[in-house]
Amino acid sequence: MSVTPDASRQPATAARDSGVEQASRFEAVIGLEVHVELNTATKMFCGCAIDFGGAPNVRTCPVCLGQPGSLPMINAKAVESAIRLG
Amino acid sequence: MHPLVAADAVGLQRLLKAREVSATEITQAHLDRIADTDPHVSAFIRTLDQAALDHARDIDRRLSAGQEVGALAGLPLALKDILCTKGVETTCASRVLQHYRPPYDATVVRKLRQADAIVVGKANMDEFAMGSSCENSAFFPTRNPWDLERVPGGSSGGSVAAVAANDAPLGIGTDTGGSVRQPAALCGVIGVKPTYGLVSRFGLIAFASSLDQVGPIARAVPDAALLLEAIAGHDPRDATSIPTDVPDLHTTLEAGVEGLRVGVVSEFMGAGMSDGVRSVVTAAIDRLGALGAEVVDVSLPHAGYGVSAYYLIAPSECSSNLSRYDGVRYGLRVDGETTEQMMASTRDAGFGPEVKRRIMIGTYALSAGYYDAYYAQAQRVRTLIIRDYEAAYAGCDVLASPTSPTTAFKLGERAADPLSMYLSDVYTIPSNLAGAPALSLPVGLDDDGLPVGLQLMAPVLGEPVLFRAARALERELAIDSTPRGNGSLAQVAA
Repeated sequence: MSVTPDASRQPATAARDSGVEQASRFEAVIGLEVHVELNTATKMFCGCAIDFGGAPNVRTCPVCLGQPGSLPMINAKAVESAIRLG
Repeated sequence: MHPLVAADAVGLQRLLKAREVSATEITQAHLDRIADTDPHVSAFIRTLDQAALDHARDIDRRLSAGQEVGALAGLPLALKDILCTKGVETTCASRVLQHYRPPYDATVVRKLRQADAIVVGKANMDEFAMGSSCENSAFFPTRNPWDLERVPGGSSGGSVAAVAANDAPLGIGTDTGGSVRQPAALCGVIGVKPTYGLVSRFGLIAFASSLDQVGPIARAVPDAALLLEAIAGHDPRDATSIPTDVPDLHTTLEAGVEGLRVGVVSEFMGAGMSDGVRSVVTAAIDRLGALGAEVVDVSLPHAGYGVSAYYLIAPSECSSNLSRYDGVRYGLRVDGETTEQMMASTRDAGFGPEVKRRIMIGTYALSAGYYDAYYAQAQRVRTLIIRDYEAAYAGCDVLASPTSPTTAFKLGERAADPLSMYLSDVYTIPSNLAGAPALSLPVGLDDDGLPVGLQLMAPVLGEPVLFRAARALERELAIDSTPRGNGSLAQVAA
């Protein structure tokens, strides 16, 4: 895609700045979002096992299906691990 | 009326233990009573005749074989249709769940089955427990057995009307802002909202999770105590369940009120109350004094803001809880060209006007920019009300007030004016905000012959003193809880 510069709307300095000079006006801030799979035996909010490879719909319950009336119960081991990870 | 349906739960239990009647006879008498009364009262969305009789026969078989039976053996019970029953439709009186069959039992339902209570039917209610008249049911309104042209109150109107109509000695309701106590007052029976966390909410279809609590309904205080002891207790599947022992209500039940300090809440005795309610409630409080209680005036200065705070907190929680009804996983689905259209059409067809109103209020109150002004402010008011109660209980054992500002109103009378309906719960809402127990006890009739309820309140986990005070007054007043008079059930079903 080509962009035709509109000379009349360019700031006076822009034409003189090189690419390096332009970049130097920005500060690089880099954040890392790290996802870790915790080695718990059960899911985050219910007691269902988290093993892979079983028959369909056997490692489910009213809680992880979000059935009406069900309530999540937080996995204590996951909380403990998260605290240890800081 | 058949003597078995006139009897209270403790009386039926005595007859069953003495083998003078069978559980099957008790159950059949109540199913026959429902067949006579429910065409007039409409307390039940569905009756469970076959399952009830099968359970009763099983209890009789075990009794004959000398085996153990549960603490509520053979006692018929009306269950609000908000508690999940495995394989049996649980609708919340909503089109969105009209054909929903839960794959599991609520903890309360499991405890009731283990205690051998006979669930005779799933009772009508305001849709998703939102309402104070039972007129918000998507299916049909329930009528008050004392006057069939009047509402039973709500939202647990079906369970309460069933107990008042002698369809069952016991009922289970849920109370988020007064939904057990207000209908109990309007139908002349006992309704209890226990301490938040005393009874498990697992399997109770959520309306406002920080306020919802399951409570017993009965025609006698000892019956209500028996039922609460059976359903209370810690549940590891409810993170808000209190890890405490089941309260012992029976040891002190007959201990009387001598030496107890009863605080009359000044803010709940002011304007807005009908003259009939005022005179009956005042007389009942005087009787507590005559029985040896010390009656004093107390103030809950912030309680007047309770309704306003409640109608921000409860709709906020409801807007979140009800977002799951999207037509994808369970319940109603109305097809649309896109997924979004399917969800919008499903929710438009599935929810009634009051539910939609509360979802909109809650969504607005939680939206960015308004959260601090509405939801956070309401939570601050809640804290002030909790402190008001703490200050009041520094000098009192229990508090007293009317349960409802008026007796039962006519069907349709308040349906067009949500605000007047919301004010039905002005005296009951503060206990939900504080998480503290309260009950409604029938204490007399007004000039129109309609029941008046006295509300007694106690500190968190103060159920023993709450039941003790209620029992003392019940014994003293010896109220006849049978609906009677012009327009009542007695004129159409003997």
